[in-house]
Amino acid sequence: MLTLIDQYTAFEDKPIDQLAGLVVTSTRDEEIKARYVVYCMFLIKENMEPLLMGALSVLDQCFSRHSYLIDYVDGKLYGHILRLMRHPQRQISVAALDVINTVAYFSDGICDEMMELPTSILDETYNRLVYESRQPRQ
Amino acid sequence: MDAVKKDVPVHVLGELEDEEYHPSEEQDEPIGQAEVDVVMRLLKLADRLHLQKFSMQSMVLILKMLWNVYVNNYHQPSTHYPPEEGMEILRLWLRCINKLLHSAHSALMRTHLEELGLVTTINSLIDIAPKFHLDIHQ
Repeated sequence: MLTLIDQYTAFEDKPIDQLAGLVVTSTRDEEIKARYVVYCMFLIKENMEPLLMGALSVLDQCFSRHSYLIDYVDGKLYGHILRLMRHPQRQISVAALDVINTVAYFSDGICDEMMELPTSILDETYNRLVYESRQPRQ
Repeated sequence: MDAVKKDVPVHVLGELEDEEYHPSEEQDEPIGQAEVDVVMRLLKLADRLHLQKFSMQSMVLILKMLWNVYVNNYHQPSTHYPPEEGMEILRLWLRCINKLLHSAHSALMRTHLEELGLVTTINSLIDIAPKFHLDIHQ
């Protein structure tokens, strides 16, 4: 773990919400882009709470503009994104939904990990983010 | 289908299986833009996952909700909503309807469309979709 953190020390002096712009516009080096993606996946896997929103945003923008970066996705990431879709903060749930939506768009939704998502996941997200919010408050 | 039902929260299934459920009552309830945004994200993801990760019950609720949003907000002569947003809703809505009408859920889907008085409209829209560059088969 220390090795991994050491590896990304160079990124940690930058606010995570500024990383997306750096990655998609300023950085031409594909290896650096890939490292940003891996870094964000690391933040998500380790549940670095204050940085989750930024990490999801970076991933979504990276995948949207550079779809080849999806190749760097570790299959286990879907499990972590799934957990974030259940996050109590609505904006994190929606950001997680955006990431998985973008990945599904570029991978045609047919990758094995995606199809292994629980059958009820979209129902559950719908119920929590839309249906329940429309019910009269007690 | 039973496996799907097992995972769906009871309060959604209960409404649809309960004869006291009246879809028309839902039509008058306003729906916020944040809810529309989430519904669109969910429906896009469902579409990309070949409609396999959504129960038919939730799908029908969402399609009804989106139709009402389209009719009430976008399909008005004096609407201030951007037409491209309305077109995106209509395109996604039609594509999902079309897929469902050609799936094992065709009969159920047709029943719900009849409830909304939309069978003729849908057939017409699907026929004319290509003329308006609505590629509903993708």
